Amino acid sequence: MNIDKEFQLTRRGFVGGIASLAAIGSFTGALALSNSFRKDLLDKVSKWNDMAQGALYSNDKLAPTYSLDQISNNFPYNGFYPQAYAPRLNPLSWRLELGGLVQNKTPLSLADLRKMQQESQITRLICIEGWSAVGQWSGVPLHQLLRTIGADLKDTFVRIDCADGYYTSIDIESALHPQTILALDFLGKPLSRAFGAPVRLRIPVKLGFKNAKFITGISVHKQPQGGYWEEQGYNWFSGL
Amino acid sequence: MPIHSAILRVVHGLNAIAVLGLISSGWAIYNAAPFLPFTFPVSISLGGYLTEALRWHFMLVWLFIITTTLFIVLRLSPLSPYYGPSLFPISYKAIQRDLVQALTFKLKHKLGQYNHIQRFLYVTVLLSFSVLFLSGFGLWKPVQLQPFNHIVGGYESMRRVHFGAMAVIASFSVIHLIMVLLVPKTLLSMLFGLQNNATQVKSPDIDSLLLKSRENEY
Repeated sequence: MNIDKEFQLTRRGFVGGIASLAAIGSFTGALALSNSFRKDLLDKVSKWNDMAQGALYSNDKLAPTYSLDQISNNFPYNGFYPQAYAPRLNPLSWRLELGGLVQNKTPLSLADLRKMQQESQITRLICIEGWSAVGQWSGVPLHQLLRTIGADLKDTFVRIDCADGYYTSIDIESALHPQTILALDFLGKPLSRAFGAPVRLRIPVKLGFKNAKFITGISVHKQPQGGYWEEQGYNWFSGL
Repeated sequence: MPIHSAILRVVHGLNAIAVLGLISSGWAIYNAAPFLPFTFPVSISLGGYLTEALRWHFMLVWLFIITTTLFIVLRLSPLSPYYGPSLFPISYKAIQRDLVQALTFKLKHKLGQYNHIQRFLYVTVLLSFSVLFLSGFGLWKPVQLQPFNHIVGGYESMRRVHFGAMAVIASFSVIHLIMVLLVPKTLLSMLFGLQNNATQVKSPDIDSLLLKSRENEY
């Protein structure tokens, strides 16, 4: 078959072209048609991405901090239900349950947390949806709490459970990051109900959904723990 | 030897799939928090909603990195046996001339040689790919790779840079396909690897060597 004087379509080229098209076409077709094939592949790549992020991650890198005048007005509410359904917890009877690989499992009260050394930060919360906002949080550094309760810090995972049934988990290294705090205050005042009162996680090295609100329990595990959104397909590591 | 060697055709095909998938899954990700007064139709976005779109985006980015790197190494490094036609020089006058010819269907398209529209577009694509790649890393790791975002003034600016580079590539894809339709033999060449029987070749030494090595094959 002649295309023009100078260029020829060869049988070898034609067969090769058809074969490549068929290979790419059938792979794409399998992805489009088979839900389980697609899910398996996307799950595997997401796990691989966890590994790649873990390798890239370093606790030496601090999240950028901002000045008071850079704090966002009207910090957005976000959650898997409307703001009005946010749980209402009594700060006096609230206790932080401790579990898993920790030596001291005595639940902590809000007063116990207030007595510990506090850290304040003005950082950017970045949501997986793409938006971001700068806020000021203060509270107890998580590394300090984990050391105080004698948590196993070697190759473990920290799981956070919440009053609204939400839960998430993080690698121990990110949990020990100097800017990872159990926040009690937002903009210098105790957390408001919609924003996680009485205690939320503020972890600037992770996407927003890892910053769990209405915390009721912290536990340390050898096995990966997943999470509410993570089970629905959000990447587990989700580091920034 | 074929204008487009088998490996280049496969790499180009996979790269095109990666880029189209990244663009359309990117649209679904953008839809979750749009910063312009519009969103993209779910029907043309890969994954449809955020969770699935993100999974696609962060899978296809690997295919994009691998195929783009391969393409650059194979096509743009002078030592490669697949070293392609030169992208330079590019002149504004020549682009105008070629554009007028293309629009009046008079553009002489020589396989194995880039006209000035192609040169301009391909350089633009390579630059946009670099911007997409670097801004993507900046958005993915705004803490670990802070300097990436600092260059453009922070995370929020970087989102817009990433979006803008996407728009350039999406526009290119449309123009690229129109150009291919104007010169259909390029499509055949990209799919089936047309043989170049022309006597005018730039470096006769290499070509005669290649011809000799291929004599047994045909």
